[in-house]
Amino acid sequence: MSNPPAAVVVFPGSNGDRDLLEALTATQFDAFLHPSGEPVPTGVALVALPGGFSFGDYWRAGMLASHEPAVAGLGKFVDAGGLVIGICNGFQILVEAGLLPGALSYNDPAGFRHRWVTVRRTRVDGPWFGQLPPGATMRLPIAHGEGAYYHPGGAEAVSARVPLVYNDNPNGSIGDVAALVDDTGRILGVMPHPERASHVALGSDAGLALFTGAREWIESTRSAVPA
Amino acid sequence: MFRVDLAVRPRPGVKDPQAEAVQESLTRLGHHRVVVDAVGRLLSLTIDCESADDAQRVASTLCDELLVNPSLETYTMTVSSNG
Repeated sequence: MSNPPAAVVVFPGSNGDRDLLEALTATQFDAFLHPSGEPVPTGVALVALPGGFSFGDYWRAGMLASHEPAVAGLGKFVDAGGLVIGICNGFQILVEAGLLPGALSYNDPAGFRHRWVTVRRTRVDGPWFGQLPPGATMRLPIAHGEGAYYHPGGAEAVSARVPLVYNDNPNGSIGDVAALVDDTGRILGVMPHPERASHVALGSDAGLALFTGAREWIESTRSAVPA
Repeated sequence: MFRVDLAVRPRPGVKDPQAEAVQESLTRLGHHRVVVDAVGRLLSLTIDCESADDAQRVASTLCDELLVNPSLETYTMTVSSNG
């Protein structure tokens, strides 16, 4: 069976694209870089939005990138069975695009945070978590200034969509939200960087579990992958 | 032509860590009578339209479609003739 194709969307100002490409390749995806100014090509099984500072984070992080052609078609892509992951700035882009609810705002207390954190899997399920049972933890790095998740309805409004929570909340997110999925579970936004925890030499290889889980899910549901 | 100055700030009740950080610095400088109410952003626009009402309508549409996240932010605008 051939490896599922995965597009890593590169925005002006992305800086996590190469790490993401390597993590997807290490977990048996045929991953390639794709410019944000063009729609994602057909036949792709997974679209990944990397971390960084797309469009310089001007005005509001992720806002300008959320209107790029590669992002505009993601709703239909997911409707057809595709998987989408947005990491850090990619998570901000998904929220700004309305593909995930709520908002990501300035860390509370204010400041850029970059360190290792531990996140814990909840009972919220999705195609990403076949390798990570409820209660399991991952050690992942964070690097963000606008990672405080907020929803006007409070943590209860999104509790059914939160698959990962921080053990020790680093940024003031309501409900210790570290990640969020959409109604289908196929869109995952995650603030820590699983692609940077891709080898024990880097401090942890725990992040690969999400990508391996996604690849196994794709292989088990090949008919759901858009043609 | 009309000029619109758009001020976007955190919605009341939403945490404003930037304001807290600026407050801390000002207090450290000795400005104990100053309270930082909010930190936001300013956008100046020139809009080609017939009236101030038109300019306000256009700017409101921009806010709804892109510039303001209603979960977090609120905005005010001032409209003036730009010659």
